[in-house]
Amino acid sequence: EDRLSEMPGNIIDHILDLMPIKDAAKTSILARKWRYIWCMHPNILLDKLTCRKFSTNPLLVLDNTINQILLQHIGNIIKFVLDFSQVDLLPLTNIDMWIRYVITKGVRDLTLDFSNNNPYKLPTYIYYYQNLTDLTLNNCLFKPLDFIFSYPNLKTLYLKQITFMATPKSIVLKAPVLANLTIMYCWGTESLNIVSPQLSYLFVVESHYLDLSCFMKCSNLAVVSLSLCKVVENPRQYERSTLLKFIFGLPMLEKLYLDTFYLKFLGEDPFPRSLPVVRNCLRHVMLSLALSNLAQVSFALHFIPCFHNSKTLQIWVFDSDNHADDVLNYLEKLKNLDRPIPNLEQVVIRCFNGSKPELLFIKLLFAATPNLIRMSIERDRIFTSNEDRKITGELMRYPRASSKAELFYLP
Amino acid sequence: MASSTTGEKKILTLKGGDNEEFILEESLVLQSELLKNMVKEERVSSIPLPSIKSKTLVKIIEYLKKHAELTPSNKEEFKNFEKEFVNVVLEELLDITVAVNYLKINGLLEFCCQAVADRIKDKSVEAVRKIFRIESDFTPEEESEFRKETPEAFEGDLDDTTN
Repeated sequence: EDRLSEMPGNIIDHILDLMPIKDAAKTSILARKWRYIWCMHPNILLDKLTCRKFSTNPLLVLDNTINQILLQHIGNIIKFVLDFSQVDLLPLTNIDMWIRYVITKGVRDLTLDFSNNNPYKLPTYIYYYQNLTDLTLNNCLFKPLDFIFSYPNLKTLYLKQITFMATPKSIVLKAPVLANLTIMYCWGTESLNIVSPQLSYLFVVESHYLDLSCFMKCSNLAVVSLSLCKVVENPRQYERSTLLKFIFGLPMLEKLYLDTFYLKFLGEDPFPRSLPVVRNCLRHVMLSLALSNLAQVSFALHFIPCFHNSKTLQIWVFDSDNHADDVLNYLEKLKNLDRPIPNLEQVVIRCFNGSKPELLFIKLLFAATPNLIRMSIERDRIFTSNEDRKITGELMRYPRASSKAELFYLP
Repeated sequence: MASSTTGEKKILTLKGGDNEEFILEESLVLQSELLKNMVKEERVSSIPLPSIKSKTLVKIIEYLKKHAELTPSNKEEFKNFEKEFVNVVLEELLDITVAVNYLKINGLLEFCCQAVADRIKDKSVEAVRKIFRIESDFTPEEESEFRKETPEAFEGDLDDTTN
């Protein structure tokens, strides 16, 4: 008996989403009942593999195929994905038209991916289209006609390798319900001002400094992850104080990640030696830390105890060097952190290499955590049994402020 | 901190279609949106699921148990378990998919649908009809007309009826 055709509609929709579009299209010639299921399927997903496969034919075929897919469609389109990251993009004139077409079909979730390709200049009508709830753009040129534009329904915005064209005034994007924002490797972000009072998730991986002051008032921010990816030369004082004000001022913050360059940026002399103690919702702190850099190490050790309510701390250590004398001196002299971290229960040290600065760092954490339950140390490489013996011997000796603390030494 | 887990663990009975009873910890079924709501709102201790065969229920409970044991260190093992889990005859896979959809176990639903999609992928129309026992009710004229509508880039597939 034919069970598939009897499946509930939502399962069939789900199944159609999970296969290449050519296979989904073929279901329309299975039987009468299947004739228009695919044509009325609201999601058109032209993913990387599909587009690459089409483009092995002459480019005209790729164009025609996508034209045909769109023209055969019946009803609304909710989700449209166009992934040209593996297509040799020549000046394909139809892309603008396809976007216009899916807009007329009421698309809400739009993905345009041109990574590994020529950047695609977004057609200007995209800035006037207000139905979007999800927008993902990769390698596009962004230049709205007006300096102010709004996406009243946008919930998720993912921008990667976007170039915001230089404008005399800053671009203001009003997104009143935006909850998730990712900005990765974008250029021209200094002129970007995103007004998003409902933001709860902010993920920034930047090639240069992004002005975070527009997020100051996002009091719902729960997750913030910031990476700089390179050293900022001559950081400006006000940028640093803005960043600290931002981090310490978020009342709902639960998770924070800062990469090593941010720590360096914040830790360069002169950094404010007296950081505040915040008793907010922050539970999980994640840092990546270059242990050869004194500015970072000392900043991190002042910074970590600031979060009174933090429960877990994860640190990716790297670049530790047994001969970084200034760091070793500093760590050896420092007997205690500024203050204990009373609620910290779990510490995870990742990429552990067994060096002296790492061990001293762990020693300080053991001494500052009266309620620690678990200290996990994940090794970066395989140690010789001799090394292992030496390291574990050392780790076990360190006095622990918590009587409940267990040490996990993991591969 | 919420302390709902203190005290002894709550036990729940699920009744399959053939009246077979399965006793398990309540915490396990919370992965199912449907059962979660029933347990939370109505505080029931026994839930009849007459539309689900016992054999299917056994499989699903097995999955819930494995999933509850999932930690970062046994991810690989879990992936292999998932692979084996859907490596069953079509009839059984469809039974599980429908039941999981009914129970609203979202992660598993996605995985089951992927397994069904994989049995359609890269196959000719004839092969898909044969595997799923779909009978074509098109006239030959209709069929050749509709085939012409399919873009040429879709052509050139394997004709594979295994599986």
